[in-house]
Amino acid sequence: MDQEKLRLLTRPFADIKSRPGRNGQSIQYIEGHAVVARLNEAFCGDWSFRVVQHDVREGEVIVLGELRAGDMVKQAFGGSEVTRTREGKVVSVADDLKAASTDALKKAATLLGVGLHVYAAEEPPAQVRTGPKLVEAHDEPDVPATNRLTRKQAEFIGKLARTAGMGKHELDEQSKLQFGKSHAFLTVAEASAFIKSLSAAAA
Amino acid sequence: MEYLKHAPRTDLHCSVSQIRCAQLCSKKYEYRYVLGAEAEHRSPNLVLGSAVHEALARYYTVIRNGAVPHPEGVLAAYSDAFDAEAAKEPAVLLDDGETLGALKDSGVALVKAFLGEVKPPDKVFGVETAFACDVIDPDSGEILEEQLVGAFDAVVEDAGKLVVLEHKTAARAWSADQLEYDLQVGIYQAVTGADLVRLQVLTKTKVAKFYVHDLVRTDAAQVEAVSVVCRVLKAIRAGAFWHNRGWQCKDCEYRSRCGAVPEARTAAGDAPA
Repeated sequence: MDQEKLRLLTRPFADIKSRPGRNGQSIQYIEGHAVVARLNEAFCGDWSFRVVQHDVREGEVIVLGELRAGDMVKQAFGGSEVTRTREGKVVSVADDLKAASTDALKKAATLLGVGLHVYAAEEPPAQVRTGPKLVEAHDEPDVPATNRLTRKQAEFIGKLARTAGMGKHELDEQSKLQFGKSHAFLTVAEASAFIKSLSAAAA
Repeated sequence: MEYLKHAPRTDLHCSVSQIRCAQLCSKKYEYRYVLGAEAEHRSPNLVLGSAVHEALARYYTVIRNGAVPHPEGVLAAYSDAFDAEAAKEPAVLLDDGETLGALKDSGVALVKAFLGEVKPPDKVFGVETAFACDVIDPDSGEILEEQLVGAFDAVVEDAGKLVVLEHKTAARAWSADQLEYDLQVGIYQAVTGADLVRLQVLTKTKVAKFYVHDLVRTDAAQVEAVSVVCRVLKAIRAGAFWHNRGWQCKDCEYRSRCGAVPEARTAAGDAPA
């Protein structure tokens, strides 16, 4: 993939929606049509998506989707709860499958960098150090949503950038492009995503 | 100072001036450092202050090298630095009727006031001496991820005392409260263990004046300063950024972006619609 396409795909979205999630948290997301518009913009409409498998269960539907663009193929699962009336009657499995398909498409598109900055922010760190013991992130309600990256992450990002021949300004521009902020102010999750993309670029 | 440990500089750090920026207006901090937003203009105070700093650095460098500073050399250093600063992008935001030439002349007056009244120290150990410290939260004992970094304008020996010199250009003489509570003084004393911090203030009054303040912070005041740094760093870490409207908006490099353009305000000083 060329740099221009990557720039278009990873450009931050201005219109980010939010909805209530588990444990009273707010989940940010991008609407499906915005992802479609972004893929059209980057690939001039020359991309395709198909449902490889689907499964309708008691309470949810699951879809395995495949996104193709040029010589790239990305697969991802998507899901949706089965919508029921108050009486418990299924409203429309077709609509639920459509929602799950859109979810799979969005997830597959993140593998190309679309909206990565939003989903990176949603992923809690696997473990958060609090004093002498290690606890799971979801057990620590005081961890702020914008948990800034660690010193080690900052140093590793700097090291990757130097290896790639990037200066501080260039590094910050790349970070701003992907996450809308300077690299020293990424969250732990965003820094992890940035490290992955820098490592991939270096490879 | 047990709460600031000298350490090799890391990639995650914050300076005292950044802390002060966050204290003054955390929204400005967010624009400048977090979002890396382009400044709309350059403040004349910043241009003038940088050039005067450069001139004073030349003065102390010459002494450190064992020579006697010549006023012409110091003034030439100022002139070169001012021209270089003024040529940078974005353009300097000048007040109505103000010109770059007049601004430069006011700086010449400041440097002359300094040269006319300053007493050279016995010895200069360093000029623009960089430091990096790990910060330990006095309240929790936690070592913060962010280091505190900076550079002392000069470190000197005077009358047998270790002195940290800090230069300021200001519109008027510092008030007693400013001198009593300035954060930088407590931090610099804590970092160096110096006997005192000497604040050398040049005022851009009608007649330029040079003030020297020898300041000493108690241990408790130094710990409080470190604690303030920790609190600010934690607010930054938590992404807590808010507008702080006030006199600081007038020259702010991000005033249009945050809707604080003074022209958009009424004569009564109402906030823009």
